[in-house]
Amino acid sequence: MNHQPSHEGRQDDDSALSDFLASLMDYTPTIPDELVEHYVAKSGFQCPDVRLIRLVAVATQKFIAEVATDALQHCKARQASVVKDKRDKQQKDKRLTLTMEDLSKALHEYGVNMKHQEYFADNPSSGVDPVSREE
Amino acid sequence: MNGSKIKEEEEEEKTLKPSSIQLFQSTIAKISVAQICQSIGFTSFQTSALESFSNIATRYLETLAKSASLSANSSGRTECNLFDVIQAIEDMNSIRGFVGATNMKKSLLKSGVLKEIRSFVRFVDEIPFAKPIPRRNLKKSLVLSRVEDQVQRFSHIPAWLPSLPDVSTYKKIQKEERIGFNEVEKDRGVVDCSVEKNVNVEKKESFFLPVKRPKVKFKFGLNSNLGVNVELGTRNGVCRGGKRVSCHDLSEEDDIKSFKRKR
Repeated sequence: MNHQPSHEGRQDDDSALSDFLASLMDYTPTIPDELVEHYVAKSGFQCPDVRLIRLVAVATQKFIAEVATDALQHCKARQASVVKDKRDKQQKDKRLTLTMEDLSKALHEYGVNMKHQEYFADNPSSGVDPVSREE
Repeated sequence: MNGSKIKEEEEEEKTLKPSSIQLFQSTIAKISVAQICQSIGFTSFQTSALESFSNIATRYLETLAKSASLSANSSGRTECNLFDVIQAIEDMNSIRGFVGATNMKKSLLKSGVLKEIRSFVRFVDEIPFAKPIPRRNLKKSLVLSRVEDQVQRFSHIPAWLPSLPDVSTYKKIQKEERIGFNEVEKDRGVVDCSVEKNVNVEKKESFFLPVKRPKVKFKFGLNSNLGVNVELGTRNGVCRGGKRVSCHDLSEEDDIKSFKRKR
């Protein structure tokens, strides 16, 4: 029942947090500050503190990284299931490609429902791919 | 020729198409998303997949910022602080769930999301963006102009309010006193600025419109006299010779008023 944190614990938390925020000053997120500032300002976020901008950037980066990791797992799983039958194709399809299929599957877990065309002719090779056709 | 070229260039700068700006933004977003994907282990991508992924990433960013600014606004602030950001991040992560989400009374500083981000920063290698991005100088000039405004501002006016209109709209140039809405504030006892005190005489007149105003010109077309319907706003040769009325002085209005009263 005791929900109130002890004073020492809170102080520890505070110091850890301020350390973390200070470390963000040295950390350069992959998403550039300029881009984050732009989008953030566009949606009414006003803050002169660089650390908070960085925090937002890091949070977004984490989101992207998580989704990408999930997509990678989907991609690997799909390849593994296909390759069993066709050993000769294994060499060709060894490279890991971020596809709409994996991405939409991964994003679905994050509450993003992405609908995409079954057939998207942005590339002459995209229609020919036998691996994605098989599914 | 040179002049025309320069003009063209200026026009190009002015009419920098929104589409090209959007293209710039989305390209940068795409590059950074691609960098992250590469760091995770992807070696290639479908163009459509990358496009939609970067689109979703920017949407995530915008939604995060929106919810942070919303929570700042709802608590009466204009600038976001750490708590707003943490709250927003928690909101964004609530779909998947995170450690400690069940404990509502927990302090935001102890948030599980924050811990996750902390470990993310600690364990994931830093991948700086591929190229430095040039900043526009526009922001600098904006800040400067704001600072100038602040110099003219009074201490009791909060910084987030828009700047006052031009001085000539509320200040007599010859007699150095303010009339108009500043006067109203003085009546309420709010003003602590340097308003001169010989205003008592004119206090009752203070609710008049500003004295110095630009001339207002009206033009009546001849056609109304002829009984022909002509659309408003057409200023072609037919309208020539129209009657011109200009009102520019308050004293005239006063005269008219007093004249009316006498009648």
